[in-house]
Amino acid sequence: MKIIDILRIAAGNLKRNRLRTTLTVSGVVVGVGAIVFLVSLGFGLQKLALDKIVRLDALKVITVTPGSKSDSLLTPDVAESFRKIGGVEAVSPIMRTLGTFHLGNNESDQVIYGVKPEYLGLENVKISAGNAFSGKNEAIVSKDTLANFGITQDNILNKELPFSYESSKGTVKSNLKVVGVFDDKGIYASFDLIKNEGDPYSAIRVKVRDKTQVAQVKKTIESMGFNTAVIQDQSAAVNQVFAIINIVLGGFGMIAFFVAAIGIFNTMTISLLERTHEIGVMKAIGGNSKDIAMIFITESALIGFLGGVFGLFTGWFLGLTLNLLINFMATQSGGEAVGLFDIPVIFGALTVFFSFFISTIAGIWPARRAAKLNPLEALRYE
Amino acid sequence: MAKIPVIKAINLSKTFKLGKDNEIVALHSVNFEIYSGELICFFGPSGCGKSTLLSMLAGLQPPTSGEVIVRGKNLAELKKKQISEYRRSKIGMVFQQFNLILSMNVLENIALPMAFGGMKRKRRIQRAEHLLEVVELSEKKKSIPADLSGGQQQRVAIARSLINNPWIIMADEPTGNLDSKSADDVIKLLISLSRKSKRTVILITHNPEYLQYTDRIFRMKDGRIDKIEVNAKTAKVDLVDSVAKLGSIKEDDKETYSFGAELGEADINDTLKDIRLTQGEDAQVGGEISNLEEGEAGEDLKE
Repeated sequence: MKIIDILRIAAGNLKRNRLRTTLTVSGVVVGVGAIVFLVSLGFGLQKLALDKIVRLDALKVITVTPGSKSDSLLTPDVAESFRKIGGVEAVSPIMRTLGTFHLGNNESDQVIYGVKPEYLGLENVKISAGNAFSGKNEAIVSKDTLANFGITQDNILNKELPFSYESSKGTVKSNLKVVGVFDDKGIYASFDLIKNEGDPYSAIRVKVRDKTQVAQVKKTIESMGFNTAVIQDQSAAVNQVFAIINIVLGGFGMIAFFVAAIGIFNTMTISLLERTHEIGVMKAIGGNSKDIAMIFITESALIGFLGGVFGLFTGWFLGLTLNLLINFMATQSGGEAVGLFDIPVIFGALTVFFSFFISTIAGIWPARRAAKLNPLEALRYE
Repeated sequence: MAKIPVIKAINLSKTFKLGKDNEIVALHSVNFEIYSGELICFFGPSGCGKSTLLSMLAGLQPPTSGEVIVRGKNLAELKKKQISEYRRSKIGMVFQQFNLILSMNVLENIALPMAFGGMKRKRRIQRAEHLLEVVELSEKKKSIPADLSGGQQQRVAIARSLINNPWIIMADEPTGNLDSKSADDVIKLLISLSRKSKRTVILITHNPEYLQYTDRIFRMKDGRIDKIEVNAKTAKVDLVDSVAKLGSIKEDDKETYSFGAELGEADINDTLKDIRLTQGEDAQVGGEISNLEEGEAGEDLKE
């Protein structure tokens, strides 16, 4: 018998018992929907965590510091040689120094990073008030530091802070003009403000074009005798935690799906009893056991496939609705809209396949029973 | 053609075990030969073993001992798949309960054995439509069985039995559930299958009225073939008359007369004589099942 004919007969049988088919498929929809809803919440939170904790851009940055040998200093020539390594997108030097700030009668020591304006983009520094710096004496200060200084944001913007720092040429006194305030910690000042001619850089940030190139570029720089550091392990740890969360969430959904699988088994067994006579007829007019088994298996597989597709849709729709609701409430109270649910394509496809697969298995026993029926006895069965 | 037995039963026995020391012998060592084109009737009281015998000829259950040889092939030697193929395309079964698949329409029901054989849908439908014309139910092709009368259902079942152009039609009490008019239609159809397309027809019936139209009657009693009667009537008596008699239940049924008139009597008489002559002779083993994919039985009734 051709597969298309088996499909036709199986679909016809499912149509004949519309109510029962609908109920059985609904069971699968609930099971698959529960899995999709819960696991997509897990995936959504995972994505959110990865975005927030470890920005994807940060994973492309290599921080280079001077090596242990006396000649491995980070000079402008070295920075230029980094720029020429394949896969490198941007190179940005950092001058780090300890500044002493004079605030009235108090003094406060703070680390100042002298960086170029493009560095702020590289590090994804978010300015919450004012602007990024562009001129020589300009700087931006973090909210955290302002809190240390005991100064409010409004009192400092566009004002000058006197400070001093030690350089190879002795103590340097200077003023920095605060043009912006950013989240996070520390002080970023214009590179030229901190830089002393001839001094090597404290560090160089090297950004590569693609995350996959990090290892290669890092190796090249290390072979030139410098130390490197990359942000790495956090994302792996986050993924690990969420893998466990997803398994637990998926496990809850699996319970519902397991019940649905029993439902399919039940439906197919009842169908077998109901159709015993019909199976007898089919055998008497020349249907072979394999075809009859295939009709049954196809029916349960169809139930699983339909339940899988509709369940995927239902789980997705539930997540979407809930997310919209949460985002609405969040934005009303001044929060940020976030994507809480995420269904990776491979996960969606796997769920449908899983539903199809388990349903097929649930149909095997009734199908085998149907195939083994004695045609004469089946014909007598009413 | 007539010299080759289509079916040969050798010492066919069937015993049912109903428990320890409780056996029912349904058939006692039955022997017979049935020839191509014959219209055979198994006749006897309930429980005489007719249906058991037929189900073994149809390959629906194996005998306890003995052999069924169909066109030289022992059914016991066929593999599962070949038995299915035998039931599908070498024989056509007609049941008392019609046994149509209730979820399929008339056309799908008729075409189902062809679908089991893996034939293309277009070809199946073409052939099923043709057979529907033969049983005069073309207008019902999209109906489901529940919407048909008993007689119509049985005619659909007969069309289904013909779909793969089988050698033998086996009808087990085909009129048992029908009113007399429908029953006559069905019997007429079976007779015409035998007469016009020279198909072997095996009929089980309770109704003695139909005996006169058969070529040979196997009278059965207590699991034995009591007597085999050759129906002199079908050979000697004008067939037009005999079929007309069947129609005489409703005398003004013109269709019955035209039906009878179409039979080629001379032809049939020859065949029947031939059959009787060869009954004493040793059977010659004929064509094998395996090489008969194309179907050898006569052309369908084309009208």
